[in-house]
Amino acid sequence: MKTRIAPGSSLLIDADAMIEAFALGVRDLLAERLKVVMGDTARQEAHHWRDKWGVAHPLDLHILISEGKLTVEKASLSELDMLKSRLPEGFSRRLDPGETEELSMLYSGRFPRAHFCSGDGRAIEALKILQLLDWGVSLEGALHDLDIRFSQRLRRQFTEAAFEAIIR
Amino acid sequence: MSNLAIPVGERIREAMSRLNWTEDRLLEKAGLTGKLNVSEIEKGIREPSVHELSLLADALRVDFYDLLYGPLRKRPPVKWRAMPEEEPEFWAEDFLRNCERYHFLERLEGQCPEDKLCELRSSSPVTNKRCAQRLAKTVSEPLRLGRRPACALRDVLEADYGVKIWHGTHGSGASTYGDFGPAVLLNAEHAPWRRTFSLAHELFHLLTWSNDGAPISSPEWPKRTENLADEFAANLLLPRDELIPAFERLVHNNTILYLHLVNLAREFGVSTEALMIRLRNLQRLTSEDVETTLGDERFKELDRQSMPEKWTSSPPPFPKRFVELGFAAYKKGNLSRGRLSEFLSTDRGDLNQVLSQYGLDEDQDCAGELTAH
Repeated sequence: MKTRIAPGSSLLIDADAMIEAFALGVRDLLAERLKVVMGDTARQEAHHWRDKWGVAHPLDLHILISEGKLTVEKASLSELDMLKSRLPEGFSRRLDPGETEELSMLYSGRFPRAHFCSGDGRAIEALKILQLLDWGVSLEGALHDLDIRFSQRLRRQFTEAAFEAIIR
Repeated sequence: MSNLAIPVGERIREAMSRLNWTEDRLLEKAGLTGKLNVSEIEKGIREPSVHELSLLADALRVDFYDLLYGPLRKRPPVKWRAMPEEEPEFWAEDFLRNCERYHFLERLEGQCPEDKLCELRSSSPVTNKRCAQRLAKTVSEPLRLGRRPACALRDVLEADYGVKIWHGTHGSGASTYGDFGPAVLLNAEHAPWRRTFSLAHELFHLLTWSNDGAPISSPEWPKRTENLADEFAANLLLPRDELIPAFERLVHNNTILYLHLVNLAREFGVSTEALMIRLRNLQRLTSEDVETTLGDERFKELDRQSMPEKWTSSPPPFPKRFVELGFAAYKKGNLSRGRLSEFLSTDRGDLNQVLSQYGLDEDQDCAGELTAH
């Protein structure tokens, strides 16, 4: 597996990847090993994870925030506008506001050493268009690079194979 | 501070005026009371955050990107059969936003249905009962609804005529005709036979929708238009040539059992009231008998008893095709998971649970395909 995350990097993670990290039980480890950043909207979207029995488990991200392990940032309208001007007409409309916000901040260069972690095909496709593929990482890839082990099955969209299939 | 906030503020104001909302009302609905000031956005003093904008867009029933980048879409009028008691403008905008989303998914998936309904439209104004009856007879053949039209009407309109059929819990039936095609809103809490009658009623409005994008209804006689729509619905769902023989088979010695009347209504998929009014109009029952029977407790009890068997569970909030289109777009990577969750008004954590109600599973492998010739 190709190593992407170098020491000193930070991880800009989207809502679904954060929920998956929580489901795998590795969220706190992830936040301990590197600086984790979320867009304000994605943070609101990552509300809970529902297990196979239908029980909802709150993510309680405010705890990580208060401990300083998770940073939440807001995109400005000019950052959003800059992203829009680089994506093909109508592309943004297939992304949700949370993904748009995080991609805007990534594209504006606000986090020069941040890797964008997502399992969403559309968001990863956007990285390709923005020529930011070197700054994209699958959740599996991020966990591998940070030497975080997990025993549960990772959903396909968060695997390195799925990520590679999209960027190919 | 960029001046990008100013047009966003103006669009917020425009969307508020569509709903006749004050700023306080908007902020309350968006859960932003005390956190935001629209005037400040309009003046470029304060920039809304993406999250605030998404809350505002959802509350205003406009697309997030329309609010952010503009312009707001021009929307067609919505014709209600009976308006919701509270906030009819809001429920109309909610219906229209859903139709726009549906159409967006159709375009994404390259599955925009042809507007075949316009081929069935009345070429001359429908001004009296005879015209409404004639229209019902004319359209029933191409619609191919069979001998019990109520059973097939919804599927035919959705699958063959691209009518977007939604179910809500406010008002009693509504229709609209926009860039997204024809659409109908039914009340999910109504009995199935009432919903079917409402659908046929709304079909009349769609078939008589004027070319300038407005439902035909004279302000001087809106009641009359509604009566014509009812006449059309009764003729469509209870065609004379099918109903009379079915009725006569049940008549013995010039009488018909209450039980048979109730069963006949269920068989045709209409309410007992609609059936009896139709039989009265076909001169098979007298007005007096209809009135007496409908008020008779024994008849009402029989009617009630027959309901549970035919009253299947309430329809799901989203049309199955809408969910399937969104799911297919997501699985193909044409739509993000977050956007699908947004369209299904659900939290990301609950998406798979919502999809499972439509027989879909996010984790299923949908990659297989065949070459079609």
